[in-house]
Amino acid sequence: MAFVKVDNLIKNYGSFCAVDSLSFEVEQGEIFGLLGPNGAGKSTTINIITTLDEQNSGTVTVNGYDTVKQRAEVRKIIGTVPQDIALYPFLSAIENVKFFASLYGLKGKELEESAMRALEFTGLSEHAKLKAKKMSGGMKRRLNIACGIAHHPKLIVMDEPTVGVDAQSREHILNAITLLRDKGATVIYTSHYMHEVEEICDRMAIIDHGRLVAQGTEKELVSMITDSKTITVTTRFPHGFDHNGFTEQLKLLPDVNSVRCEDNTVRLDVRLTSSDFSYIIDEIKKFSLPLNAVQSTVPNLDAVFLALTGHELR
Amino acid sequence: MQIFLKEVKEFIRDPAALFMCLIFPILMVLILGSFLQQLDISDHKIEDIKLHYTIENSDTLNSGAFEMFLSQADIFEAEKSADIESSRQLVQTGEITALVTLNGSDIELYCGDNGVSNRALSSVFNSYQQMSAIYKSILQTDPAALADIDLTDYDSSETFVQREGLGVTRSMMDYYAVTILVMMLFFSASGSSDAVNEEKKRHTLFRMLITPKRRIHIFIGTILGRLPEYIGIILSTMIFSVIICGARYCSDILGNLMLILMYFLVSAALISVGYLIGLLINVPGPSVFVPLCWTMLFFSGTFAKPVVIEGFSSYLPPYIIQEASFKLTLFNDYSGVLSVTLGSFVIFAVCMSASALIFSKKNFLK
Repeated sequence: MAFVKVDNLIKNYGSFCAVDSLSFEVEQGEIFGLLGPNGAGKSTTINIITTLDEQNSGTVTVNGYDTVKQRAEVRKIIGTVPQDIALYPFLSAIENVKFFASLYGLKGKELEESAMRALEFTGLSEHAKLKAKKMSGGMKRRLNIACGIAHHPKLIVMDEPTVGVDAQSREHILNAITLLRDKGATVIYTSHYMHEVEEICDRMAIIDHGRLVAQGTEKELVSMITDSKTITVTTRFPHGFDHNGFTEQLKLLPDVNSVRCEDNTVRLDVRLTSSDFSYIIDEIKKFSLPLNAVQSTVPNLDAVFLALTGHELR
Repeated sequence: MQIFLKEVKEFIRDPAALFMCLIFPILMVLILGSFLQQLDISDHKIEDIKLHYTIENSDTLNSGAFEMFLSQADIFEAEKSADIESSRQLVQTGEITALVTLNGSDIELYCGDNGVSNRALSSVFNSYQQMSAIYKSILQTDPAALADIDLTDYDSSETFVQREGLGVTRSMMDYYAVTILVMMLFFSASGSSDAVNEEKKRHTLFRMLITPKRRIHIFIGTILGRLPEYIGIILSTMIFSVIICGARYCSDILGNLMLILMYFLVSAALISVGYLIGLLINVPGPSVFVPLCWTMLFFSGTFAKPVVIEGFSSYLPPYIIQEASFKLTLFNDYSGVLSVTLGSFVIFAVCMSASALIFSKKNFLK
């Protein structure tokens, strides 16, 4: 049974439809990415999953509990890392974490230990007594995460947790999320940074205008729009080189769909099923051409998004 | 409890909140207190006023009473004029303050340039004339009644105060200590009208709302967490105004405790009203609450007594609270304080219930 099941979800704000018949499932112990541009309906979906908002129709269950009818049960097992930093500036890091964890019923030694563990996990244990207002943006982001995970939730919902942070903090955050998954937590992760989703998510759903565009693993999504990858070879063609003969010869090779020569570059469109392209390189060498660079490019999620929605992510 | 403690910690560590709630009232008391203490020190001594007097066309009764009055009044050094013209010249040269002429039952003053002394003389002789008229009236209607009057028991500020049960000398500081306190309570209440909005702005409200904690507990913790800062305002204002500026509230402990209880419940009522307003409107609470408070305080005579409007001001909460305070501090009358305390409790209970209901149902995402 799916840990989170979103079934035919609809949410309207007046005449505006924020989420339109959205359905997807999240398995236990995976990082599931919700990908879409600003205003796609990601945060609305997250608000409904976390019981902050109610849908107009459809159902959402978390670990089998309905988010409307069994709200209290759902809240006990969810931890949230909101998009905006939600901290008390005059409280220290440890006080912020302890306060939010205490609202989940943790107390005494268990509260103290859980809060410290959450700070260690996010790399803030050395700054436990530092007030939130004196922290850098990256540290606040990490503290924001610590506040959402200290009570050991089974489902962690992260709404764009890396917005506006430096590269080092981002790396730290992404590592921490992967580690949470490895420890058994289920993570729903929303972002409009493609490379983040590609890096940490096991599966993902692409949302646009409140609708589900596609879902699956990165490979599955890429295969939806293309079955090929591009091999780019940079060389130096001698004067009077027979480009046509060269192109025709390469086209005869197995799995090669097409070949284009531009200046000193050869671009080959090759079927994804192939993994060994050494025979292509060998064939090029037969023409006594120097190999300055060889690059293999697989279409990324940006290309998938562009192909499926007709516009770029941002 | 966690939310209550969090609110208290935040208040204690927020320099701006601490300044507004603890330092600002003290500064107000200090600044106004020293200013008012200066007002209490007179610029001129009006004792030892030298004057000459003459009596024209007066009967024995009038002239006898007049001369007795002049001889007994402490502030005069009165001497019968030997020559009116030379007395007038003495007035003009400033050697004596005035020449007083009793003509029948009327009094005429020939004064010099000392305006303060002139006003004092004018006031004293006006009073004398009015008192004389009263005595004459009694003499004509019921002469026996005069025998019961102890003429040595005339009113002084001291005997008046003692008779009214005050037991202490009062100053303008006593008035302003109360009005500053009431003003601070009303202004600080504007903060509670922004409590929900503040949590929303910090996004911590949403984080709290999706925890297993019931909304009613979140609400109660938040609202109760505001009370310690009001206790701070009340105690800091009262203690400083007494120690530094010499203000006096009640003469006994019970009265002062009752006064503190009333201010505390007034604070609770104001917090609950502010919170309710904050929940009902979609604009920042202080934008409504602050102008409302200013208007009420203005027409309650908090800033200046002459602003009080008959038939209107007496219905305004700050006016009612101030009057109740004065009744207790000046006249040891508990009725006003008891009414305000009870009324505040009722307002607190009603607004708390309404706010709790709204807080439990409201969709804060809208």
